[in-house]
Amino acid sequence: MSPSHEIAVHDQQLVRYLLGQLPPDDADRIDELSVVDDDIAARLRVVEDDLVDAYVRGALSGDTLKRFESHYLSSPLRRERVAFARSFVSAVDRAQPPAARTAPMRAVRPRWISALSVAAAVLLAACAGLLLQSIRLGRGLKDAERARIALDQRTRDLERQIAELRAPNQTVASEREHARESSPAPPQEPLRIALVLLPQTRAIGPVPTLRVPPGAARIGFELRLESNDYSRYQVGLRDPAANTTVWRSGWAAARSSGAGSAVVVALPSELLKPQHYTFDLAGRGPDGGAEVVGSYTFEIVPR
Amino acid sequence: MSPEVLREDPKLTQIAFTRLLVWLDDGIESHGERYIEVRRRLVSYFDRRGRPSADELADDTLNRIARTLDEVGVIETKPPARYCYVVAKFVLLEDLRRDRRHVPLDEGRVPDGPRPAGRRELGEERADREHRLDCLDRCLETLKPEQRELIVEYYAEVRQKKIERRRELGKRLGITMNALAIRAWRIREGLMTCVQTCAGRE
Repeated sequence: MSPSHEIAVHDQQLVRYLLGQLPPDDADRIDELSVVDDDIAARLRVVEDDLVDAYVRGALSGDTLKRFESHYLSSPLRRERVAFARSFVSAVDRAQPPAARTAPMRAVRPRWISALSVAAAVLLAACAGLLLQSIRLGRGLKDAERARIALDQRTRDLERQIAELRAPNQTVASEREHARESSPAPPQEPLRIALVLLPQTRAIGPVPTLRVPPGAARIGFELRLESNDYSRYQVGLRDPAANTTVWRSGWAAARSSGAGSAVVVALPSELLKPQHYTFDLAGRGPDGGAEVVGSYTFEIVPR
Repeated sequence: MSPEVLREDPKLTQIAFTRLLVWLDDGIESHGERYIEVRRRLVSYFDRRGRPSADELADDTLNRIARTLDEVGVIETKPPARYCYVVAKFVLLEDLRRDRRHVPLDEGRVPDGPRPAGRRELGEERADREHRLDCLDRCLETLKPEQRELIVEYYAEVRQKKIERRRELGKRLGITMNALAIRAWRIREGLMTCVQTCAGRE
């Protein structure tokens, strides 16, 4: 009898195993099953690929994300899997034609309808669909990745330019920083909160989505806090696929919202492209020391 | 001295290797597939155990078993993968011990984890990513249309509906979820190997 039938191993356990979160005895047991048991070995691969895909799509959050980055990514072989998944997933996502999701052309037809003309039409439609998918797969892959590479490069160039500009005049920079701290949200226009983000839990739940309203110059986000433990907060917008911070707010105090405290930020709408993003929230106490408080993942969907 | 120097000579005779393949097949001819599968599992095992030379340790494990088969003629433990795991545990322990003995020599080594990249490295990283994309394009072209269709459907992001979608796909293809998962994984793994080979990493 296969060992997996003796004691059930759940997918969630396999995720914890991959993230190095199982107690040693349980990890040893799955170590053995991963080599000896065909069923577990196959399931482990499925779970691992799904986990890696979720990471590159920015769908991991909280402890799972932290463990993934600190444990899973510690191995060069596994980083290689993630590097491949980045290209693979973007190719797959771009190759998804909305119409093909219901896939009517592949529905099984009763044999008695197998008239030659119908078969030919179905075949033709299938070929066209596959050809289209194939073209999209290749094209989508290049477009997505090159756009991301270009964005990476632009961000780095800007960061470098900012660093060069800052270097000769630290005083002006610190004054500007001080001014920023005292007025974190520029009062150009009344800010409407477009998305309220809740503190992330351990569960891998659906990622909140937002469609950018046409004509909006700024998009307001409210980041709810579990507890308001710091005097000031700063929010960084991270592109999880490229793992680069593309925007950062000034330091500001939390506001009280209906359900407790929250940090409100306003982002220029042109910054947001249809993809996943993560807000990294940092807190600074009275002693001046800053630390990461939490992260909030969301997705911008096309208009 | 590097750990590789301490390891036994990995060379095997053709006869010993063939005997190993037959033993791993356990009565079901797989044309070497079973060997590749078991080796892959061993590499993953050593890697998850944090060993940097997981590939070499997997080969070491299988070479030891081949030598035992050569000397003893038969290994009774069933299934063969269980025996592989037992030997792999010894290989792991030995590697851990070797590592402890050689700690002073590794002091200057750069850790494997991600670290901030310099400007030149970023340029290389970008070129590498571009190269990989071209490789993936080329590798995708080698797939059959039905394989392409399968991976697009199987790995599409549909969040909560993923399981239903995969179940529906399996039903449409007339195969179980397990068989579908294995089929999708094989295509994906083949693509990854193709990209690695193309990018000159193997």
